[in-house]
Amino acid sequence: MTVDTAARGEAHRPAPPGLMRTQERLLTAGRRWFERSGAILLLLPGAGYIALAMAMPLLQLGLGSVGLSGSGSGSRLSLDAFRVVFADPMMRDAFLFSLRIAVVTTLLSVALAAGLAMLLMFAFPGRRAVILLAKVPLVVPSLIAAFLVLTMIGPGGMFARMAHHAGLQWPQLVHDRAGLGITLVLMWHEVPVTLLIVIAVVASIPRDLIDAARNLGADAWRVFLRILLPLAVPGVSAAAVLVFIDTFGAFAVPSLLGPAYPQALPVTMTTEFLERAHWEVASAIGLIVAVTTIAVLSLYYRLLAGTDRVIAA
Amino acid sequence: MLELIGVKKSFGRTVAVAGIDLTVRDGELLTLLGPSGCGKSTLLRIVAGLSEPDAGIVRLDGVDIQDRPANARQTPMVFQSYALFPHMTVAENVAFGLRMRKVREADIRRRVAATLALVELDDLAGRYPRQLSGGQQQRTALARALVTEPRLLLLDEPLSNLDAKLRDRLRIELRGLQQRLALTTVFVTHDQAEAMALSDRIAVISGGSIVEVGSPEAIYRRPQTRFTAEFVGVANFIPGTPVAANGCPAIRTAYATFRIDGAPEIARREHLICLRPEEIVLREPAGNDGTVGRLVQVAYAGAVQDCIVAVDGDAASLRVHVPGGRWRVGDRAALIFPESAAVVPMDDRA
Amino acid sequence: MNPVWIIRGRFARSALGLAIVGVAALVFMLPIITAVLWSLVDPDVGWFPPDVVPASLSLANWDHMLAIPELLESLGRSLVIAVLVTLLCTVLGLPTGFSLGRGRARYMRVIEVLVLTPLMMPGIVLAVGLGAVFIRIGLSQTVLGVVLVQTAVILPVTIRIVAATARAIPGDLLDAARNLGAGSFAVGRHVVVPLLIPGILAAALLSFIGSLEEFLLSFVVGMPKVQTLPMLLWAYLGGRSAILSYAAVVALVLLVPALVVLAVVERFLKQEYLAAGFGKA
Repeated sequence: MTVDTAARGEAHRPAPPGLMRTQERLLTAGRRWFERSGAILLLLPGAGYIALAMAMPLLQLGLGSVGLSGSGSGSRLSLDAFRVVFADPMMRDAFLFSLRIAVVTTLLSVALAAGLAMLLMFAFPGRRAVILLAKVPLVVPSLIAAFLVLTMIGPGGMFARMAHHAGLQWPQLVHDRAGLGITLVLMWHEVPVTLLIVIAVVASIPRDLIDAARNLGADAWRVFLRILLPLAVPGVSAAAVLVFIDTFGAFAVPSLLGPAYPQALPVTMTTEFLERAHWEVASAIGLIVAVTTIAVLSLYYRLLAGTDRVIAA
Repeated sequence: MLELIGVKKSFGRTVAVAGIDLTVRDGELLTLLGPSGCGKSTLLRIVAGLSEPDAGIVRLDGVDIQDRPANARQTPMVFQSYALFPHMTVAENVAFGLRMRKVREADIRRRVAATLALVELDDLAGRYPRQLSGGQQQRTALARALVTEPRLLLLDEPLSNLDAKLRDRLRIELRGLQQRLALTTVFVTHDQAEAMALSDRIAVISGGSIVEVGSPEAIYRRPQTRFTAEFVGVANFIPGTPVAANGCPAIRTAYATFRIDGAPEIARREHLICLRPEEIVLREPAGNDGTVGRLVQVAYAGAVQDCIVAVDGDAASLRVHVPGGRWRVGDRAALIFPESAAVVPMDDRA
Repeated sequence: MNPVWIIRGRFARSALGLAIVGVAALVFMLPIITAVLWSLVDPDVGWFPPDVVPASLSLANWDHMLAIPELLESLGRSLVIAVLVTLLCTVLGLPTGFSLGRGRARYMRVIEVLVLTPLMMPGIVLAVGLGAVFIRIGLSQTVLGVVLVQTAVILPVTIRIVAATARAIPGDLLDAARNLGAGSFAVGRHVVVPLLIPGILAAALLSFIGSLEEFLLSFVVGMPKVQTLPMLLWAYLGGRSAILSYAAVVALVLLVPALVVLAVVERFLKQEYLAAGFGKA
């Protein structure tokens, strides 16, 4: 029974035509409104939860860092927390420590992953085994990875013992001021992630372009330099940005393998929050980390847009 | 001049190229024509060095090049997908081959500009491939190959991604350019109309072997094999037996006896007369007609009517192209055959 | 793409292959083997340097650990939390993922970016921020609090996997169903949901594992009353005197299900769904 049949007078049920038509019209209008906004209604649960889950902490950090956390400590607008953070040499050292670790890890991971990806372009026996092995760290959470790599490179670890048998001294790689152990553990996880992304990026380059370049006289090196590299750089840079964000904000690994001083920034933050209940200071640090991340993220999205434009040609 | 001698290539168990001998003369455009999967693209890639043959010699202007790497052959190719570098402008794409050869910058600029003018792309030099239409991309790919002033130009189905009208236009431009430059060219396509319109000679390929080589007219009017006759244009086949008519070789069929021009081996095998649809004429039936039939289908094709005629007393039908537009389904017509015709061996199934 | 033309010669390639496989095995497999060995160390003998292999193996650690109430308690709590998180993420993620997968409006792109942000933001920011908020509203150190905070970082994975699955449904199927008389609900029931089920299963499995493994947010919100298995591991590893055998047992209990689930999901479900979903471990 539709509005149309009713209008044509082919009513199935005898009823006052006017009322029938109004009911039908309301139902149709309701159904159409539902279908149109159905998409939005469906989006609401998930997107809404996430929006809330993101807005609340950012708001809390923002307000808390300027003293408006309202936690009962007498809220008044003040920049004391930031003053503490910027003035304290420990905070500065922590920030630099995290930054250094992030930069070094990112550069090394990308370089290693790129190199590995190049090697994996050749078909050699055992290639599939290597790819499978390389995926293992992807599913290992960073905490467990810290433990696993600790058993390898720690002072009582496997390598140390094997070195002892060879009569060599195994260097101090964990709890060291350079954060070497931290870097190695982070790389253990980040190199496979970056590797997969690099492989995907290179695979998306059409084979024809390589053939055309060779056909026009380019040798292997020129093909790499003038075709592969420019087309792969946007995607690989985006991967590098992700690695940076991951490693800058890493907590578990630096807390387990880091030196007593300096601590990584997230570790300092957690200490201020949980042990010392210095909410304002922790919020200030958190805000700084958040702002840094958002800045780097917008860089990521602009790079990603660049990739789409180039490859879509 | 390009010579291919005994070129073979297999992929695992599949034979892609089964021993090909072919010569492409200076300045001619030779087309490799065949159905999908017949090996023509593989052969082209072997010439370009992008695929290594299992055996055979590729000789360009007297020099064996089959052992040279792909980037040392100077046989630029226009790819079916154009393969334009998306991160370079039109001008940079076109300049690429020259840059690889370390030509001087000033010369590069000059030659690129000249070639772009040749293909009428001069005002698009700064655009990127994604900003070009299909026809413009195709011309960029062509310019990129031409600018290097090659001894041999290779084209791998370069027009197949374009719509019909554009294809037609670009084909004419391409042929004009090739003739003006007297460029030795190998063209690959599965479109027989395109092959005939474009080529000096056509090499018909099937299953990795050359079936026939000849000028478009020779291929069309006097095909040597049934495969060629069927693949190039429409063909009617009428079985017949050899006879001698007034000292000339001839074939007698159920409908008529046809004189054969210069077909030496006919006495030995069964043969098929091959008649093109435009060679048969339809006329109003009169009393004394030889072969008559009834029109079972008539399609309007602009210049002609494409008719299928069921011959009386025979299970076969013939396809006839009639200029003009008088006929209708159900009409009866007398079939007039030409005096001489092409003949192909009957047991040939390439 | 295989540039055979760069390295010719079978021997060179075989040597290369062997070297790479060897290094990969060393780097990626050896740590796990070492962890297994650590868990099997005989507690009376220990495994001290310079022994490269433990002098004697025993299952004593496993027996001991499985008898400790602390471990079983943490395991039980982790499992309960994981189930709750999976349910919540599935319920929230299914409609959103479906809408994102099939929607074409411009604002969808913004929503996609929004959905990704919890994965992009360093966990520490979310942890401390949400931790502070939860303290204020009294959810700190409660199971509900941990469930809610884990959902924040696991929901994006669920949504992305469901969206990828939904996107892969050919529009033609829905049109054909409509063409043959099915209304919206019937199309959903007979076409959409059955085709979504592999994606939903994959998402549920990954949510479950993700929740089991989640450390940072649970740590900041749950400490010290609500202790999950990863938090227990951290306790065993923290400080200079790490009890490596115990840590190894807990690590393996956490690791093996994850490896198994991921092998299963990778084998039976399409690669693209996983690539779409993966965030930080």
